[in-house]
Amino acid sequence: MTDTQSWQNVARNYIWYLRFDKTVLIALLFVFVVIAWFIDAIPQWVSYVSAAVLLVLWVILVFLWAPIRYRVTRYLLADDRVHFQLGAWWWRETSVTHNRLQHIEIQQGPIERLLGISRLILYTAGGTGADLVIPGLPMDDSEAIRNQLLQDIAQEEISDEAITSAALTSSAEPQAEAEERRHD
Amino acid sequence: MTNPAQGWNRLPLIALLAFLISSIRIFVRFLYQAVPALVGVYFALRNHLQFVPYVIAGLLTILLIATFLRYRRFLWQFDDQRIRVKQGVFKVTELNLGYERIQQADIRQPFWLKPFNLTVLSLQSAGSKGKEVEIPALSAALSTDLQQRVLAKSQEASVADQSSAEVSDVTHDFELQLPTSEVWRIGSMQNIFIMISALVAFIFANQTMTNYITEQFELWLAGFESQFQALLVGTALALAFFATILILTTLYYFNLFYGYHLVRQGDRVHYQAGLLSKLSRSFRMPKLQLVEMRQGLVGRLLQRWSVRILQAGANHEKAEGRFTVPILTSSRLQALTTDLQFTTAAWRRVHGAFVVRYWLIIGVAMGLIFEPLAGAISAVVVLVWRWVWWRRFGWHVDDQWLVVRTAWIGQRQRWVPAAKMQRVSIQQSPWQRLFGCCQLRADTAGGSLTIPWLQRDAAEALKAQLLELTASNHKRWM
Repeated sequence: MTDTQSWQNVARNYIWYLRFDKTVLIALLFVFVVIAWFIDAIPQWVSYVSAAVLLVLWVILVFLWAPIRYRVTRYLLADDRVHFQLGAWWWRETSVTHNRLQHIEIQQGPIERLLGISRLILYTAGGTGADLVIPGLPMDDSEAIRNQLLQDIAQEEISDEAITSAALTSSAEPQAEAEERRHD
Repeated sequence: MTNPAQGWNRLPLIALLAFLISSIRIFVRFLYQAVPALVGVYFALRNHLQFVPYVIAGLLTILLIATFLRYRRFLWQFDDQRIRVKQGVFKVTELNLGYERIQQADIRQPFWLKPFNLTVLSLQSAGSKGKEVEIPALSAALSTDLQQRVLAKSQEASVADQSSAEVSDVTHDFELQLPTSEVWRIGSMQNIFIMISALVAFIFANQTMTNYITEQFELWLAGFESQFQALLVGTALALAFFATILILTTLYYFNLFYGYHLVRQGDRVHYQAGLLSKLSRSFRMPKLQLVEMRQGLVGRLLQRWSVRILQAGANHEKAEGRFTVPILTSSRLQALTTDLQFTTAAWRRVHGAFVVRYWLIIGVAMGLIFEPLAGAISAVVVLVWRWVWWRRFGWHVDDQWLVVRTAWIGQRQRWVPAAKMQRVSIQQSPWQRLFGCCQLRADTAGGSLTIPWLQRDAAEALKAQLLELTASNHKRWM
């Protein structure tokens, strides 16, 4: 592992993506408040209070949370592994090594396209769905990282031996192993 | 080995029987779900009941035609590299499965196929759920040949090994047999409450049935002279019910694992078991992703263990689909783990703050819902429970294995090869930060291990160690 590489932030535009994302969420919740306002059975003050709460929440998310979130979304590309950090209060660091990558995807939604950012998704065999997602990367960076990773994977030399193998202890096995190698 | 022509093959006619049984199974399940709807239809059309026989005849005809079509549309072929299966009546699907990708190969011989010497071959790939090839009604010899191909990397190696296997059975590198006396105990080791809850869930999944049972139960209760009498009879019936379930479970597992015989030859691990229906299951050592050792309450009393060996994608599989050693005495466990090259675990504990997790939440909730005393009692109980849990929790890492032991009354140990990490992550909640602790999660292709409440620097070090072991290892992981 090299220490020359350092943690890198994602694109600044990612803040705007987060702001848009949370605004949509708040707007959706606001629709419910509006509906509640029209329902007679629900007292009107409930709607007013909810609307106020949503407004406060929106201000916090957009002006406070999004910039902080951006600052604590970081990644590190080491020689043979990728690290990703996320979160301030609930902090998380996820790492995958290059030799376990199954496939790599770049995703870009309409808003992300507008902002010129994309998501780099690294898949391993470790679970269901995406294993490591780096959001908010400039498209060029995503492609560069992907190409670098693909090149690394292609160059990787895998030996015939397996990590778990009976060959280590069994006396009969080296012969069979050699035979298998011959046929490869 | 006779190789059927390199084109699409159809199954022998007797496969119709296998398809019929599976059709009936689907049909019955569907009917059971549809009982409320059927009851509604019955009441609506009470006056036109003369049509019922025709309807039943019609349904049976559909069932038979569907079975026949499923049989006709099932085509399969194999070559040196892969096996292909084409099936489906309306929607035709074609599955292509390379031998190298196959994680586990099963040959089952249900009793109705035994007279014809036919078998069912199922091959599991590492893909997501349902990526499984199942060929009903293959000749036993052909199934075995295909299983061998899967186990070998190439056809030639398979043929060579097969012939050597035929020469003598004594050349096994490892062998484990379960005597009948042990097989009788397997049923009692299972968690009987899981069986009962599964049964209860199945019965009460149907609304009509639920109503009927509730009604009958109330009528039955009303028939007693005193509450005491009702309680006495009820308890006796419950005990009888438990005993019946226990006997049935024992018989079920006896049938399943009768004559259990595990053999390892080189990298090939294989077991065979079954009384009425035989199962032969195998995988290659390089595919091993996770080994789980379990001991429940009864297991602890009997001093018996069970072991499951999981491959990639096995976490989607039901327990029945996994490579299992159902019961092991200490000495057999010792032999098996030695053969799996387990190292000696030097158990390490996690931070003591682990004890208080969930503690107050449950206590406060109980206090609020019931009364303060209930809250206090449950707080003490939970604290003791958590303390025992913490005392018995352990983790271990070395160059070969990462191990996590979770235990309460029984215990479970999960062993994963330390160089087979797919993803490693650590996370920290604000609460954990107070104690300078982290949670580490190690994902492998066979399942995940979680170590909660590690000191931050220990977690970082463990993560770095696992990543280094994985990144610097250029051997095949599956």
